Amino acid sequence: MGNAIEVKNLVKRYKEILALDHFSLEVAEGEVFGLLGPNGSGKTTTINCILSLLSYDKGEIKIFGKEMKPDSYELKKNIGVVMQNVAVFDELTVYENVDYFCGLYISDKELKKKYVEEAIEFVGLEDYKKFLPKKLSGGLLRRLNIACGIAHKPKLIFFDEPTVAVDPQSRNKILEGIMQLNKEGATIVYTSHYMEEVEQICSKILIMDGGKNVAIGTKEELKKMIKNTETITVDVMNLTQEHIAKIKEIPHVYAVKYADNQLVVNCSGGKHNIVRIIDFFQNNDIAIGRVNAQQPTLNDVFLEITGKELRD
Amino acid sequence: MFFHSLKYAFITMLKNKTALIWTLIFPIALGSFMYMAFGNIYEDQALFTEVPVAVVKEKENENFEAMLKELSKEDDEQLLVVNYMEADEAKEALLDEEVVAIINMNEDIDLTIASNSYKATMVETIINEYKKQEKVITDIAKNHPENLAGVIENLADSKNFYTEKNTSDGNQDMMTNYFYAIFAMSCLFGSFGAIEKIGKLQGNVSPLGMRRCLSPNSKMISIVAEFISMITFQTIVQIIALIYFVAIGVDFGNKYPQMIGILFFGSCIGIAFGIIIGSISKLSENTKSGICISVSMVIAGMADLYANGVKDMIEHKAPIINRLNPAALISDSFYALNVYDTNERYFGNMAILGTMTVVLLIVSYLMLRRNKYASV
Repeated sequence: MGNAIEVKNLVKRYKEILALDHFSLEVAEGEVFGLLGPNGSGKTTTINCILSLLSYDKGEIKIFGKEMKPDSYELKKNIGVVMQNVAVFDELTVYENVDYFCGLYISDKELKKKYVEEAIEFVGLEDYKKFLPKKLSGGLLRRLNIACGIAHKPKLIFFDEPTVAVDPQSRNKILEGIMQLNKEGATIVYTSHYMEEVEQICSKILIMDGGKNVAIGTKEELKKMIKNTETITVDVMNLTQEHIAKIKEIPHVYAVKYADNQLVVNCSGGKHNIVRIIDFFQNNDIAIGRVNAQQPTLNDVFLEITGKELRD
Repeated sequence: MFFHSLKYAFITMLKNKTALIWTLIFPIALGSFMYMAFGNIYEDQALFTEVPVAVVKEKENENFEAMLKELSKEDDEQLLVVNYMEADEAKEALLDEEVVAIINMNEDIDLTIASNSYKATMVETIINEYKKQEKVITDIAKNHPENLAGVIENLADSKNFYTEKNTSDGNQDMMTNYFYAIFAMSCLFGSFGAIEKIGKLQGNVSPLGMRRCLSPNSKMISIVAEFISMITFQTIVQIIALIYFVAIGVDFGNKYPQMIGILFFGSCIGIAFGIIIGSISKLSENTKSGICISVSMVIAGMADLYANGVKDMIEHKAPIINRLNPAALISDSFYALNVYDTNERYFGNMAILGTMTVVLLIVSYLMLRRNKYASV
């Protein structure tokens, strides 16, 4: 399969600010591609450039192998977008909203009707067809937003933080829906600040910062890129500085913190790190409580790569 | 795709309560208020009705009575309703405003009125005229009796040397001017709906606009569909207001097709005004609405919405303002229809409104094309 999206050396400036700095990206057809980055990293600018909503200074953007321009209507027919902000008409009912947006892509009345019904069923809004958006809860509104973006059965769908401010049930329903669309053949580009969601559904993840691509790969590949491979936590009382110094000497241990009777040991590489730690306490005749070993999460990866300082 | 967009442009327009309130409910409410407030004044002051007078006959005066009989004859030219009464009874009737004046027939003809009004003035004029002619006849009879017959013949034969002629069937009273200005304001209020509609077409203004910008259609299709729906809606709403005003008794004359033409072109300019303000992407929707309401109210005021005579004053001091003020053009078009027999001025105004609309739309389109979504 070819690439759904190809971005090469994209440069975008806002006066003095370099929003995208020779940014490149490839999304293969059939992938669920996660685009991560702190606020102001250039995610929205990238998506807007890809969608031709924004002009750029330099670079090349191709969708399904063809150059993407504002009047690339044939390409646009295959693209769906679900934005962070709900984009529906307040005056139209659920059915009318989906029908309107589907009708912008599908001319055949029978086919349009079928697609609209399917989209409403897909997001589980069958009982709300005649409801106005203002009568819907936050979760239902998000689902309507999704239905409007995918009703025309696009081959490439952008989801920009679609689960913001929704309850766990609705979030789960939305994520299941996205996976279902992917199974049906759609390529997904997903942006979110919820790392667990990205970890759950994305087959490939790109982390960007300062308008640049700083890391790309599967979640496993990304986790291997960082120093920390295992975090071991031990509940233990009355440890001395001498003990802590000895723990630091254990192979693969690169950081140790002790506070409030809890010891946190960060390891980099190696196997059986937890056994070596427990052995240390047994050999020194120190009583320990609960012991926990945790693999790094995508959140750890994200924070290590992009830094922990606050962004705007 | 166009008809799909048009269909939903109409549906959203019809369901837009704000637009309905500003373009229909508000002008109708304002017009009704004005009609209630000024309608009675108008009927009292402008529509002529026969003047009721009390006559207290203390002495016979055959000539005067003959004149009163003539003036109170029930026909199209009846001026007075004469009630012969006793003095006390007449005073009471005057105080109760059952009569406008008391005419005392004694040695002389005396007149008593309760308040100044044009009806009282009219009775006074009649009395004065009678007295003047009576004196002329008396003097001639005394000094030149040989000429009396000729003088009486001349007085009887007195005639006007001008002819009153209506230039149209329309109503030319001042109150109707307010309603012309209400229509002008109402047409311009179409700009509110236009701002909202245009905001929903711009990717850098609303999420809805962004989603619509992503559809595989030219932006022009959506703009044209929205414009047609707005014009149609606005014109129909104005026609409903016109029907309402006619139904409550406001007399706009009878040139209804031309009036619908004014409402159509007025709606066009109002909506085009909203579109150009809505196309300024750097302003918030509230600021845009604020601009529209301020401009609409000011230029409607300059077209006599709040006080009669403002437009005339501008016409004398700086007529170019009236040629460029859409509210003045709309108001003046109604006036021209009702006052002039020819449509020259009406068509001139329509041409200016049409040209202004086209210019505003072209500039708006260029501004909209230039706008690109721009969020970091």
